[in-house]
Amino acid sequence: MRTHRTNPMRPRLAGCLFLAAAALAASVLAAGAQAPPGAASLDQILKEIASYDGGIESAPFWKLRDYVQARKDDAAGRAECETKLLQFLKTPATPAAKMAATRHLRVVAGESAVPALQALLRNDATADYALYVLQPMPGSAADKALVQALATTTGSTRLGVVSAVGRRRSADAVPVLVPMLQQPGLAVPAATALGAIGGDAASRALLGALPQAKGELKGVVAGALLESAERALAAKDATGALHLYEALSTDAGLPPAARKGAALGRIAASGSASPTLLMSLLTGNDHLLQEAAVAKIKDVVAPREIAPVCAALPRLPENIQVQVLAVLAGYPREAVLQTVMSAARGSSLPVRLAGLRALETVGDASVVSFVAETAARSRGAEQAAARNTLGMLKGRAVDEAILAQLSAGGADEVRGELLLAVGDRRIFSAKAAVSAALASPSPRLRSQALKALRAIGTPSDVPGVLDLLVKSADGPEQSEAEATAASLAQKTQRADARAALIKTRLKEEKDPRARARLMALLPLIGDNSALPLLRAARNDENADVADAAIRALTAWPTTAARDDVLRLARDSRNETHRLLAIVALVRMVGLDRNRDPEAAVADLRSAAAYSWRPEEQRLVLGALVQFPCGEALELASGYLREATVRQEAEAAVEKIKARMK
Amino acid sequence: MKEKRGFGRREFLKKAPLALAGAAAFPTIVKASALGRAGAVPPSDRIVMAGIGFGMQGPSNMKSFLGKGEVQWVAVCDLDDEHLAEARKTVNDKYGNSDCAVYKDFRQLFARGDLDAVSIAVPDHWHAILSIEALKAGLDVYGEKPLTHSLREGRALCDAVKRYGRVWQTGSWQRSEENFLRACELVRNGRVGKVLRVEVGLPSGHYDFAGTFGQEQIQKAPAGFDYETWLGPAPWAPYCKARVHMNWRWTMDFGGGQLMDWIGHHLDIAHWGMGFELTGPVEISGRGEFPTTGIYNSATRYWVDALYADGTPFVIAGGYPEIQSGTKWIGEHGWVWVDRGGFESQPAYLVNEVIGPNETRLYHSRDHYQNFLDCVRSRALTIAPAEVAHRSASVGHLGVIAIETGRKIKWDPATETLIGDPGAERLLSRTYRKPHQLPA
Repeated sequence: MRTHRTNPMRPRLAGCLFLAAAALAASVLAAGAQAPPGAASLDQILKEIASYDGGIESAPFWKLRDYVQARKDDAAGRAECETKLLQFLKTPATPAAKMAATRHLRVVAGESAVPALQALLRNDATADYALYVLQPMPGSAADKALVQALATTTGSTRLGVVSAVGRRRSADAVPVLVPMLQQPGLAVPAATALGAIGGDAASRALLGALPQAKGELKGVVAGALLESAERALAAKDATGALHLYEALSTDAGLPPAARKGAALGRIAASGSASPTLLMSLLTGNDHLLQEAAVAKIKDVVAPREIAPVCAALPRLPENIQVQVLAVLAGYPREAVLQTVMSAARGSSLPVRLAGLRALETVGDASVVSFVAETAARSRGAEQAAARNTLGMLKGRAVDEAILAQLSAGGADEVRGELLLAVGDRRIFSAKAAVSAALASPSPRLRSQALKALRAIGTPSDVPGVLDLLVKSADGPEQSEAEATAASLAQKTQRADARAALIKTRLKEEKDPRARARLMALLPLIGDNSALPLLRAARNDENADVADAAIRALTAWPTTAARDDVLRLARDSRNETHRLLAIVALVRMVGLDRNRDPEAAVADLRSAAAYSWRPEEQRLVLGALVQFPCGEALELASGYLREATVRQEAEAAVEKIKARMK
Repeated sequence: MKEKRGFGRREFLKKAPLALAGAAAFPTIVKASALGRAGAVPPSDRIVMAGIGFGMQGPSNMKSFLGKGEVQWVAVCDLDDEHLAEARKTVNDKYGNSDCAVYKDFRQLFARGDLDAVSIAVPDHWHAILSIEALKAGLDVYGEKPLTHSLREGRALCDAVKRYGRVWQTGSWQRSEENFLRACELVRNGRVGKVLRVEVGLPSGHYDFAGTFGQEQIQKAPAGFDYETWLGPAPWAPYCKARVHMNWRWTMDFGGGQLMDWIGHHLDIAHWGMGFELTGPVEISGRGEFPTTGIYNSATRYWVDALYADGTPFVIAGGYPEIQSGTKWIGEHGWVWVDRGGFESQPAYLVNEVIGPNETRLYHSRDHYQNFLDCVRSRALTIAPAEVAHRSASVGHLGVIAIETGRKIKWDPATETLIGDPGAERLLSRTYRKPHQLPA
């Protein structure tokens, strides 16, 4: 066998002998294997699958999968599968069937399959099957077969073989691939494969081909050389890599991407000369090479050597300055802070923005004042960047600087920015300063203090915030107070005690307007123990209080208020309340993701019963789609009779049907 | 924004008849109407973009980029005339002209020479070839997850990003959402103590995105859809409606089922919270349930166990109610769970905790698309760079292999090699249909 398999002059005979022997071995081995009673044999399955067209009649496809899966881990089973699947590929079965067989052959085929696969490579119509199995096959037999095929195949099959030897990194293929660099139609795939294989011989051939290469081939040869150089560099052969990168860099016709790649590589491979090379490229006038230099600063310029880069910054083009600043952000503060601050104060907006972003990591307490003032006086992207930086500056000293400046007074705009930073930075020691700001005559400052309190406050701060909430006449401030009170109440450990402070306040509060505002807080907290209070308030003698209670129930975040909204949808004579209840009911149905679809649809059926406006019916239809089941289909189908929502009903029915499949 | 590239306009005109068929003239990047518009980005500063693939995520990505004043979208590329027409209309409606060029051949698109970046949203089996060609053409790329269709392709793509010095953003947009960032920062800062187990809940089953379920009758591909090129490097299969647009992801030759579709979201977040973004598991095992009829062959229900070098076990599952959708880190002192629209913790107050600047802060992006554009300018790493996406996708690829082999496989994340399992090794790469080849 060995003689035949390694004799390239007699592959066909070798294949036949091998198949016969393997079939014999398989039948002997398979005879001992226990097949499940009633299970189809592989022959039967292959007979069934032979006419498979790749479409809906896929039963044999799955049978084949199960058969191979069950046998792939024992030698006898693998041998049987290998032999019979190989034989199958020579039959007149459909291409879809053969592809299915190949899929499994890929997993089970061993080196014993190589001669037969080699034979398949000779035919364009079957070559893909062979490639599919040979390319990932472990061991040298597949390499040998593919290298031989480089010389014996033609057309697209040859291209496939070239690709396969490249992916396998078959070094023996190099001598066969090199002459292909001169052949139109083969040069591009051959160069790609040589780059993937790498090594001296491949690199030399690619270097030789580079000067004459034109158009697409130029880029491909360059890319292959870059890949080859990377392999050399990874193997610690910096000299070899540098040789390739330098050769690429001197080629005037290189596409821009490859030119940049070569510059990146040159810097990486230049060892102790890298910083000097980098500076020369950075301060030169070739934009592409400047970009390459910037990309390598972090890799080759030590922190103590960053000064020349900092010094060069102001003279660089604006967009290169932006890139350099992003890199400087990764350097030690003392080495770059002055440069970054100058950039953040500069005249160009993109550079200022980049400077502010860099300050985020290299700034310290000394920049607090500048950044807060920048946030206060600027707008848009610059304000956002400054705020972000103030929130992200590192160190306790920064917190102390913010506190000190906050206590020192100053312009409201700047204090407002400092208050935002207190929240962003969670400066708990700023509580007194924040409380003082809550009493400020400026509604804007009070709002910013509320935001800060959300982060650093505790439930004990809720009463103070409620005071502000009921007294405020300023809309935005009320919203902030609501959000803050709810957020602080949420910090109460026991879920059923979170609304306690609001409930207490409601009992004491007589002013209906204030009571209404307090009720609006309850759904934001979601403590179910507040529901009885809201239920009672539905019938409050004051219409505003009753309205607030009903709105709170319909805004309830959990399904605990489902019965309440169901009753409202059914009984309310107030159209607004009824509509709010229907919206709430539909929302609540979707809250429980793991609910039984039939139960969810039962709730939607209830909502549907009280929904008579088209917009309400559309809501129900939209929700039904989320629960594909027979009941949903029936309910949605009922709407097909309604002219105003027929279109939506049709869409819902289609979607439910599709999802039920 | 970009300096002139390798191909001049004259050369382009010779190469791109489709572009001319679709547009009355070469797209005018500097629109007169743009000049002088208050707040507008000067044309010379705009990032010139094009898109490839408009069957599913492409239109949405393009619309997000079109909403950025600093982007000038000049061309669309797809293999389906209907997708092309719709995408082109979106662009032209946005700019109020008819300048958007159309291409069926991405190589012609890349040869324009005026592009800075490209957004790619094509079926998985085309990800690697197309993306590496784009990088090779000197373009920055916004690409969809999973990063690639095989693990070995992923490494090749990451190498190409470095080789050509390009900016890459993966469409793992959850990273740019506040809740996901906050959840990860809580975990990184030890709010739940040492993490004992990570649960990643993904969708199960097959979803009929295109409404083509059941349309598995073999037929001729419609005129206007280049099915042969669509198949590209994938194994040959006859055309049927259910196989292609949107639902391709349920066939392993083109996609990777729910596991691979979502691994770049919730597992990516799990890695982020753990600081495992540049590594991977050391042991993986799994099981799956598969359809027994029809043309789709990706798992409909699956369970993957992955063990990391520090001893942290991950469970990645779809179709098991005990594993909640999203990402959950379970630690000594509690847990944090995050999903789209859900962010909970035990103790409950954790979700309201603010992470201060003196704690571990993670990369903060408020807008995934803007983050890409900012990085195109700064050349800094994006929030979802290729290497990170590759590591997320790798877990999915290894899970698929473990399910297929039915064995526990051992993985060395440093060298990215399987240990002692040459059989499984075969599944780390995919063979391309001739004459396709992975570019360098």
